[in-house]
Amino acid sequence: MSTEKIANRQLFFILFMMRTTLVIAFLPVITSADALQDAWLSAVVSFFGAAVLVCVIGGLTIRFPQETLVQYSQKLLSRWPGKFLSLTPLYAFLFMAATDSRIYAEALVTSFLPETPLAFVLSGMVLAAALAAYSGIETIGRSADIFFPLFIAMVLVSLLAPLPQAGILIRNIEPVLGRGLGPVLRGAIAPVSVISHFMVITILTPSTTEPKRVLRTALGSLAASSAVLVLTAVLVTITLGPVRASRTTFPFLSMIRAIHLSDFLERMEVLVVFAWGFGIFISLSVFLFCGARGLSQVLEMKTYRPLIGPMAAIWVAFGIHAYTDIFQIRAVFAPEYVFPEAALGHILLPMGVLWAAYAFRAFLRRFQSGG
Amino acid sequence: MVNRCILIALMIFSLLTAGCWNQRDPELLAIVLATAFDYDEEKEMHLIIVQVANPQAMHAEVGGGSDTQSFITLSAHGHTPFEAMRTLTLGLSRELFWAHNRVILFSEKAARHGIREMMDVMERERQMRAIGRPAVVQGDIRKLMEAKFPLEETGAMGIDRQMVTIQLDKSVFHTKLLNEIYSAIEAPGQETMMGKIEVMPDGADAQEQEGTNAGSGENANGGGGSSSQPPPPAKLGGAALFKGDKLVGWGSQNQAEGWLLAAGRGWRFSFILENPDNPGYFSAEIFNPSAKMEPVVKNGKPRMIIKVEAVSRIQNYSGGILSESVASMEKRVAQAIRNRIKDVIKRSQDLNTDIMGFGNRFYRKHPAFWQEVEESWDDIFPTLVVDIEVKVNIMRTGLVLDPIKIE
Repeated sequence: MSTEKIANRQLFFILFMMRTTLVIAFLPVITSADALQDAWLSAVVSFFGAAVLVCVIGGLTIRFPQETLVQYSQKLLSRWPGKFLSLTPLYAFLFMAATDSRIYAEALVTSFLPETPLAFVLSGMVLAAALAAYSGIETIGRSADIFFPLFIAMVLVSLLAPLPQAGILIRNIEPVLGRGLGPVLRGAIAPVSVISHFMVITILTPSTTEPKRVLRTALGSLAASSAVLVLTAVLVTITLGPVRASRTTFPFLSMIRAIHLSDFLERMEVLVVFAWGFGIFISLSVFLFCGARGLSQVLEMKTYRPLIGPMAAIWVAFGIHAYTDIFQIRAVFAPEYVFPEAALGHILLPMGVLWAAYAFRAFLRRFQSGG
Repeated sequence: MVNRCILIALMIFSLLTAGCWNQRDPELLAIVLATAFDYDEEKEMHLIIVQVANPQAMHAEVGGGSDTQSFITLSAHGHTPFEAMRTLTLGLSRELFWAHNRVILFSEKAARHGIREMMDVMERERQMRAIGRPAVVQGDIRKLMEAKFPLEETGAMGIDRQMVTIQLDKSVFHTKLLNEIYSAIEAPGQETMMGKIEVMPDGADAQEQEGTNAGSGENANGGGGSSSQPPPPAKLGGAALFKGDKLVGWGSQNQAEGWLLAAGRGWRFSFILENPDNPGYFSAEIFNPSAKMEPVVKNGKPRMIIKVEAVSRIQNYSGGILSESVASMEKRVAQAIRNRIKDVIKRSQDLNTDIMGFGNRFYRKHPAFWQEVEESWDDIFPTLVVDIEVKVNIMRTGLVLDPIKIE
């Protein structure tokens, strides 16, 4: 199992697609909810906040290049507390995967398949992801290789399409900083917090060909996806207007629906839905792989594969029952909820404890050797 | 073995997913081409009139000589626009399909009642899209929805093409997408303007021009062409002025032109003005003028500066040596542009609706000042001072320089 490797390039693609998928799905709503026409500034600010969190995650990870979080937390905290602590990120994977896939399924059911049961859409996606995760991380990496060019082309085309209208509607992003910096910073909280997706590198690092460079890869991927986020925020705000962008359920989708390039070229949302689907597939399979791999190490199993089936079934159920309606999904991304949940609970709590243990041990070692 | 099981499972799965869950065959759909919203004040009910394509008749007409119409017109009442949409299906054997709707019309009554509810259903319902072209109809909207347009297969196509054509040929009608109206209603200090469609009474000729006389040597333009066919049922041109989501008044063609000139949005404007030296008129056209609005705040007093720059071309001339009167003609065209912009500003100030978006300019460029005046903008706007600076350059005279010399 440990012989399965992915290139850092593939890790870059995986992280980029995971983050950009969430951008397409929900981020514009979050950013424009408070910052209105300054949503794109929130997006710029969120890069720096997220970069700090990525350093917190990746900094410790590259100090244990051959071990996953589950393994080194047992080293740092001793066996049982370490196992207990590593359940936090494993739960986070479940939570994020369920949320991501639920949003995608909601978008499909809302605007394309109104009569299809949610369970069918969800289980279809999780089934595909489970097959990929079962085949192993190399397969996921190769899928990322194949999907990335398609994904990037579709996202770029859907970002170019609103440009002809943008000249007329440019009024929608002015004035810049009209209401001060406060809303901009508040608007950045949510996109910073959902960087908890990058917790997957704590499990994926030992599977990369150059584990020492994982932090650099992750930061590069974050920078690239932040650029997409800024562009998306600008174009969604211009096309829909700041107030309407915060009113819409799926702003990226609504933006694409409002595009009329000519009488022959409209209805381009198929691009968004496909790109989104590729991204969700990659996200889900990576989450599933990391969750199963982590859990198998907690349980000290030889292989993670037997866990995939039951976990996939649990995830479908969680995806359906975690949220009763669209209002709850929206509420999860409100800054006062998403920050404690994702940033504190999923990143800072486990990584903070581990960093403290690491620092304490380093101090002890110096104390002992220095005498 | 496991792999084989997965493979078989995959194959079965792909068989199951090869079709749509609830497929809709195109031949079982009634495709909506145009939607009109009307409002019945007495019953407090919404009325929706749609034009649905009749594909069989469309095919038959290619073969020639069939009496069946290529479209049908349906209408239904409802307490909400959505109820009316659903009630429409009671009288139809096929499922209505809204995604190809190109034209969205509001009757005067609906527009005066407020279009918020109708706009809502169009952004909320999954089949509807904000990429239709909107207009407000003065006159009998049902007659327009039932009317046949010369040269066009369906009435909806006729209205849609006419909207596009008029914007490219003579900018007296603001052609835009419905999408723009949402953000116009929601933007601070900005009110909405839509194009006006006038339904012609029987026997009237749509090309008959309305009397336009904006002063300064500008004269009424002459009346229209005649044809052996029944005249087109609708005339496009002019403006519908909204305050919030409610229609508050109409604007003339000149006022619509003024709006487009000040916003830098029109494509092609024609001016028929008196010759400087000879009796008679010259015709000048300007293409794609550029315009800039600058909000100025001086000693706490707002002022607006509109700068328009246009390149002009002489299309018709009956005076003397052209090169000698160019400077004077430039001044006349500039004055005509100024008059049109003044005209629309006066109209909007009389109705106290900021369709030019002056308030929005202050909001964008002087956000702190806007916060102070936002509440009282309705009191400030009617007396807002607007300076209009127009620069016209007659660059071309067509294929000849001087007109015919009579010896």
